Amino acid sequence: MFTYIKLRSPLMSVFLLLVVFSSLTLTTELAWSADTIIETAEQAADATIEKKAAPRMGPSDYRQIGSVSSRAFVWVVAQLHLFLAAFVLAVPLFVTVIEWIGVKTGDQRYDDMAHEFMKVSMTAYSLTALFGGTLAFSLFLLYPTFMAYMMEVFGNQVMVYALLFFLESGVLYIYYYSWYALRYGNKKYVHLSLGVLLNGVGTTLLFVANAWATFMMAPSGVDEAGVVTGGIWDIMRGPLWNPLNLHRFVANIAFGGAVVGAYAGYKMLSARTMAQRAHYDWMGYTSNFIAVLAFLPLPFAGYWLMAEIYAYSQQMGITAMGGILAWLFIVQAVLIGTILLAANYYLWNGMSRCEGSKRYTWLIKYIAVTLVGSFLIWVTPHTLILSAKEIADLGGSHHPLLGPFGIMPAKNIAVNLMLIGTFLSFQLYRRSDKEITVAWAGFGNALMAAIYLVAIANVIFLGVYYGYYTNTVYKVGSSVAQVMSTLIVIIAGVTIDTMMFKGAKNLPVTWGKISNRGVYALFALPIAFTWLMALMGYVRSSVRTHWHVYTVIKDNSTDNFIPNIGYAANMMTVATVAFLILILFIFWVASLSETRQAVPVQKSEQ
Amino acid sequence: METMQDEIIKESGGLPIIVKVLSFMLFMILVFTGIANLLPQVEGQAPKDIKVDLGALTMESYIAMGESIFKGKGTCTLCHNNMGRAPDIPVMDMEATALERLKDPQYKGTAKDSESYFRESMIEPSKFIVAGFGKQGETSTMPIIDKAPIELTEVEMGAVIAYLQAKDGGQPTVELPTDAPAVAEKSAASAEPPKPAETAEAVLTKNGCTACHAVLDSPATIGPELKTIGSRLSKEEIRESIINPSAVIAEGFPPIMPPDFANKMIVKELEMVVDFLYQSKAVDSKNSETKEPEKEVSNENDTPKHTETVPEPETDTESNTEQKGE
Amino acid sequence: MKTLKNWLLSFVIAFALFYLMDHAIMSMQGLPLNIDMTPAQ
Repeated sequence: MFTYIKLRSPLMSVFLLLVVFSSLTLTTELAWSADTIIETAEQAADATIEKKAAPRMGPSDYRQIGSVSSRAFVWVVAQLHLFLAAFVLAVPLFVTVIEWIGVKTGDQRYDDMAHEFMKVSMTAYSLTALFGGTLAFSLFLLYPTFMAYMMEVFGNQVMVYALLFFLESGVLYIYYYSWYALRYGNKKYVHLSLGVLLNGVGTTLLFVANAWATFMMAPSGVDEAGVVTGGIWDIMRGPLWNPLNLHRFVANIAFGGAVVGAYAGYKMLSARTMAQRAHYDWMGYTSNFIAVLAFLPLPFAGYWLMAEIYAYSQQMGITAMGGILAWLFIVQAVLIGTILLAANYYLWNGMSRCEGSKRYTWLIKYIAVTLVGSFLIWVTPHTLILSAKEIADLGGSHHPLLGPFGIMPAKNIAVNLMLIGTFLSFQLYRRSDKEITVAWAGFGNALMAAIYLVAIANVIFLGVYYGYYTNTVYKVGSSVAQVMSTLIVIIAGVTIDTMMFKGAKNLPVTWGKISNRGVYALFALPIAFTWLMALMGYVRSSVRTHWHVYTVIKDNSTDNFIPNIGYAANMMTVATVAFLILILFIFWVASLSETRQAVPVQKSEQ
Repeated sequence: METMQDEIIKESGGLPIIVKVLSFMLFMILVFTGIANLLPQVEGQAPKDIKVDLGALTMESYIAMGESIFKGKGTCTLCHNNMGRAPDIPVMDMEATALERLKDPQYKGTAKDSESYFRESMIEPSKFIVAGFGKQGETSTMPIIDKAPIELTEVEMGAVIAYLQAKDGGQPTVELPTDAPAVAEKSAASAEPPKPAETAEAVLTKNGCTACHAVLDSPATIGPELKTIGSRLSKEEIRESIINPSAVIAEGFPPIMPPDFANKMIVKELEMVVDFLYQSKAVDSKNSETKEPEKEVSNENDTPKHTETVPEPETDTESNTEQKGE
Repeated sequence: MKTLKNWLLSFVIAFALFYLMDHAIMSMQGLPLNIDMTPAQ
């Protein structure tokens, strides 16, 4: 039997965290030093350049290409740039971790897989730059006055961004093309360091660009009229910057994992030998593992971002969650539900790789029922806004029509149960190839089961009691405890398993032994992720309502309204389909380098 | 074992894999798009600037305007509803509530009646925080209504106050606005000759005198100060200095005063300014008599609006622009 | 017998853990944990 060693998951999580933290520290340091450079430059410039107030936008401040809506054009270009950028920033993050695992375990297959992931993302890199350039040009062409103001505010910082981009390109090419030159011994550590550097620069790039978006949502470092009052650091460090940094950083990893998962899934389905199939099955499993692992903490990062939005402006928070955009969260629930169901479905199907999973199959139906039930509660609309007129009457406010399942506490219960259920599937999968041998196995299993049961009871109790019988303050307060319950399950699960797996007997795993239907979950994930990203971009941008820069520059263009969800969905679909085509091109180019034309017959014979 | 690895997988037949995978992905995309398109379609329109014909405004229409601002442009009902984020104003008797709040020992604001209480709540929401919606002394989550992003004008806030006072059968105490908003004034000015200014101060502001001269509140030192001009010049001399500024140049000042005021002022305005300046003697008493009649209603709100409504620049752009830059 | 003890002990630990967590989180936000089901207003 040809078996692969499974990823050491706790080890993997620890390294993921390590990479996250090292990049964060590195980033902060870089940002600080960049800040001082810029600030000195600015002090010098201060003497000559007078600070200007934000422009008042008139019809002459907007341009259009023919009859194409400028907003629609920039929307699609920006979205494609973000998709590609998220992908190329995410892949090196987990590639470096996988490379590290390869070094630690001495298993060359990790190294080969890491290299293959990298190969896939290389073509995407130049496409990212192309779309970034197109985005910049279209912004300067279509929104000249607005961009002039943004340049006024961010000043030299944009050149730091450009500089970082050069650095990123350089390190990326060296990292990829030196892979086999620096493969063994001490040279491998040089290569790994390059990987860490690459991720440090990439993450900094992300954070620098995030500052532009968060400045538009919650400007800082400028006064009411938009005159710059602070240094670049005051401008960048707005109230939403760090929440968005964390949210995008984590979401990028989930997104990147899902996309390479589709690559592996496709390669597996079209494999011609069992060895190939086994390799790509393993690669697909790893990608899915990365995507789900990064996805699980995402709701918490989102929670932080929303909390900061509410703290910055309650009005903005309500516009996002309770106003006309409220419907969007029904679509979000559908997408996240799809992601969780697909991830679980893949794990359940994947259990067929291992005989040891027979012990747990009886549990799967309960998890499935919980997931589907929670999913249905989650998508039950919270508010029903019937018409534009009614919106006007209510000032864009809630209009509760549906029963108790439509309101927030029920959704909090549902979401937490879905997360707990997904983690259970995950834990069962990890246990399915192990025979636990520690003496306290009985107690360990009982404790784990008790934690699950009490956590579920706690989530339901908090939701029902505090959610339905008390006021808003308690509802919000108890939802934190609900989230903590879920986190405790995850932390306890990882901790208990790590201790119980000591000296555990490994049961055989047959890679490639998964139904083709199960592999389709790998295609559902990236589609749902891509569309979800576009959807969240729509809400993030829409909460600014009729402002380019919230409270500073009014949007007086013809597109200064929040488009309805159907129009937005069509735009997202355009962007997603275009991305799908680009990704196909990227994968095709990646496989082209492997394809060799056969030597013409007559020459080889003579 | 080796044979297992090298085993060739048979083609499953049917459609090529790429077609199957792509169809599956496109199908999912269509499902998401479909769901989003099935939901109610609502656009979030940017608030439109309300143009009001102040001449035709009655208290009824003012209250109605207040109601539509309360539910629309003001975005008040976003929080003031039955969801518990802020007091549920639509179902409360606000006139009675305001009077209760003023009696509250916790109340530290300066409002004296419901009208000033409502205005204070909009402009300084943190002055008094209603129990259950935060603690006294904290910053209220309520936005400042005359600042971005809501930016209600004085007239619009007055309308909201009228609505709040009247909605439960009370009698609004808000004065109907008489000053046209800036936009309306400007278009009127271009169409027909400007209306004569009502007071000497208005004439001084309108003609941009304060840009160079220390007069009224202006501390400018480009021209001679005019606060005590009555002690130095006679009425005749003052009149002549306005009509023909270069005839006598005050010592130590450049001859830059525009010579065209004679073309711009009407006789009544000129006489008002001359009288006003002549009365501005070294002893004070200058401001009190002229300013007082204007001040009678809601003084602190009236003054800034006044300067805003009067289209001051068109008189003397060339001398004015330079000083304005600072 | 040992199994029963394991389960009892596990549930006691889990209950204590979640009760303390609820209590800590609610009191951190200045809210009481009305475990006796008195209406919290």
